[in-house]
Amino acid sequence: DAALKKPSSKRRKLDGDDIEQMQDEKISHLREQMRGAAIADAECIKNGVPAINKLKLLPAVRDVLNKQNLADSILDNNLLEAVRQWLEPLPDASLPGYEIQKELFAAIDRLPIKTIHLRESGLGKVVLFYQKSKRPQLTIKRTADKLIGKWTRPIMGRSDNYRD
Amino acid sequence: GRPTKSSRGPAALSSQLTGIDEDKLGEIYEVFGDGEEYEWALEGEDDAVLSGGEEN
Repeated sequence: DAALKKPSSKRRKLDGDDIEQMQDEKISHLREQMRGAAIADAECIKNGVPAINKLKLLPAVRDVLNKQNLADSILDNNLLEAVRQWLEPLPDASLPGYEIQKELFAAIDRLPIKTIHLRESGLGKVVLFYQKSKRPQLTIKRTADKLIGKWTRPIMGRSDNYRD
Repeated sequence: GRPTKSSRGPAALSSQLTGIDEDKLGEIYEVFGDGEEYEWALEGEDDAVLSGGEEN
């Protein structure tokens, strides 16, 4: 079937733009998969069945988040919005599994996240939730604390009032 | 004396926010919200899930 293969030019050398575009597509695709898994898990909880969709997708998410060379594409394509959705409390107010929290917090700690990315994704709000909630493990809460400090500082700029 | 510890609501950030200008404050709220977004999920915490008591 002709539809099986995309009519791409064969063996053409990939230039920088092509690579960038492929990365963008890959990240956008993952973002949609992550969104779908978050919605599916929320439905599971509402229906009283185990929510495992995020967990199943986690290895693929971890692979992408761990790739240093994808960092720009991750931020440009707002993958952090999906990260925010994954970290949000579920409809029964429970938190996502510890493995999910651990991987995602480690990743957002590594990424060069700027104020604009936080605005676009809403990630700061959910990290604030982890700081306030009494339920996350101490290591997660410490990371949340640290991130809030790190993200607050550039907004405050040079400020004599700011004390850490 | 004993420092008062607020770990809930916008008050959690406000200790850092005294005396900053409105633009910056607006941006802080844009980034972190007003603390209401996930308040619903914090509600039962005090009486229910709490067993560790790592705070206080």
